[in-house]
Amino acid sequence: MTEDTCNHSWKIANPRDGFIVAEKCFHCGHIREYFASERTPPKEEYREGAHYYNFMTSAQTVQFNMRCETCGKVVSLRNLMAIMQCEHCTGHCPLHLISRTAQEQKLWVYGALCYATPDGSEGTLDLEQLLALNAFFNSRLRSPGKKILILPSTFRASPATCKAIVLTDVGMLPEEDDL
Amino acid sequence: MLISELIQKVNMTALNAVYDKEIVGGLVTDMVSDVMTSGQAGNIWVTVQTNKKVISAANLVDIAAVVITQGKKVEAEVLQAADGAQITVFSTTLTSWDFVGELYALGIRISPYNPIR
Repeated sequence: MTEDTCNHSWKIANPRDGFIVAEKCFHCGHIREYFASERTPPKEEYREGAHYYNFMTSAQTVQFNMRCETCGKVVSLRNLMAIMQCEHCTGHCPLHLISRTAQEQKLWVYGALCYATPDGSEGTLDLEQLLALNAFFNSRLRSPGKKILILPSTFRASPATCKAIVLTDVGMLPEEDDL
Repeated sequence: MLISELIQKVNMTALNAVYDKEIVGGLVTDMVSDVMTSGQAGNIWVTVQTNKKVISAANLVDIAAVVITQGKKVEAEVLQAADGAQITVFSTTLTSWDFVGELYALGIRISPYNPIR
């Protein structure tokens, strides 16, 4: 069966433990986040171009790919930072409106939070990644009528004001701080 | 085994409404990333974590019930979120080790699906 005709059966593949690390340039305030696979989150100050980055915070996480058990296709989720759930902090946020409306239909909406792109803008998953992630989580459900919908976190009104529940592991190690 | 049957057999107390579901294996971890990658629908999740992330992760994977061990206190807003997701949160004074021993004695085993790590 080819990848194009396969009704994919996704499983998590190649899970990699690591840290989400957030750093801030003390000159311009630019914040960058990335995945670090080291045993402890790197906290060194460094210069990159015009930026001087300082460690802000970190959280344990796991990075993984999706692999189809039928055709072997692999979808990398390297840019996925975490999955989040709306906390309904503001009534004007599109993600809040979608998730509250959907919840009435037993549809639980989560957001896929991605690492920022090189130009600093909020990252997002592409369609193939979203389809694989949604298919995987929905394939495991048992509760009658229950569905999961994972949308790009770019549906949020603003990352700066969002108070979503971010599914990362914080406070589990002495080396890490709250994210 | 149904949750309503399990209540009769092990040392745990429901902290919110009981949503009777079939238990399919168990999971013992304090990390939500483990639940997302290794948890299975119908699992009973044993943990000492009490924050709202537990309910959010449990809902994502369709965990049947959460058991908070060592008598850790659970805030009302967490239980409210659990009711919204129809997930029963139990409390036990036992350690995770001892509680899982009780589950094991009843034939409840670890979730059969675990990604290769």
